[in-house]
Amino acid sequence: MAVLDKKGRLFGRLNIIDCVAVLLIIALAAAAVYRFTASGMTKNTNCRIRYTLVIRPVRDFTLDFYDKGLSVYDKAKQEYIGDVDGFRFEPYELSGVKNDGTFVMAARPEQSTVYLDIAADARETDTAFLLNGAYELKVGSEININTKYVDVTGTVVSAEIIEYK
Amino acid sequence: MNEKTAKLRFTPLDAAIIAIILLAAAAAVWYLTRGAGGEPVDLRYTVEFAGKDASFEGLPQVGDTVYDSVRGSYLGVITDIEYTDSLVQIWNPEEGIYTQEAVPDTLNCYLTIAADGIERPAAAAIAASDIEIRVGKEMFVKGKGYASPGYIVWMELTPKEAE
Repeated sequence: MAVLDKKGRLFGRLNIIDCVAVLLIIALAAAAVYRFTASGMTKNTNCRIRYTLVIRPVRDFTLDFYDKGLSVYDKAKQEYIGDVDGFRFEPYELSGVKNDGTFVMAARPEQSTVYLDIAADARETDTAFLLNGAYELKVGSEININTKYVDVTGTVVSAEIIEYK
Repeated sequence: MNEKTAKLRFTPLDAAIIAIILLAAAAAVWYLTRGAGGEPVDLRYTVEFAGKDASFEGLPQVGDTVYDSVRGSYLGVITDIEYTDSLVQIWNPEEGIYTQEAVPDTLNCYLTIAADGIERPAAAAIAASDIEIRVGKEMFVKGKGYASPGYIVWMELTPKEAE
């Protein structure tokens, strides 16, 4: 018996299109299971984390729109990534060279640096903290965030586990 | 065609394909309706047009209806207009500080715009166009005879009085 007969059936029984469709569904399911369970990882622990976003420069008259308790979303992925757990402001400083050749840090008028602490449930793996099962949070990455009141871009500068679950 | 061959045949593969189609339809419905609902509010926000030529002054008028210049969506009605000097920050190498200086013949224009809004847990949006309003968001505003990009620098939500 031929492997593929005149009707396109494998071994006279299975339609080759059906076989391809089934294989595709199995591959998609396997990929989804791998992505959402982080299989292959030796570390896979549920925890609560606090991470800090630095946002700079921020115009001083917009500082009133940062508040504790606001939910934070990744703007591009439209995904919830935690709640504001705390914040602080500092003058926004840049370096400059004086006439005598020395480097100094100097504050830019009416601009601040915002440190936004965000708390979120996460899963700790070997390579990242995963928020919502699949959102990779990494120190050093830049995120465009939305809260109810602001639309800004910040850089993740720290992330720590505050509680294991 | 006899009755036997005309009988509807339904294989497990057909069931899988139908299930995938139903899931995709459910995801599409969720995606398209996820922003629906919310409480009606009076929404006011201010957009800053920075570094405009001095000839821009007087073009926007209180009472103008403004629209998104990219999509044409409704943004609201201008309720207040302010102009300030357009400032740049300059490094002073003698003292080692930054100072602000006005740029000649340029100005910043601040348009405060009012619209009926919808307040949701994660956002406030213009009711007529569902454009979300947040401080720091870039807007493309056009009115009668003028248009400019600008950033939202202030917003306020006031619950509507019960009628």
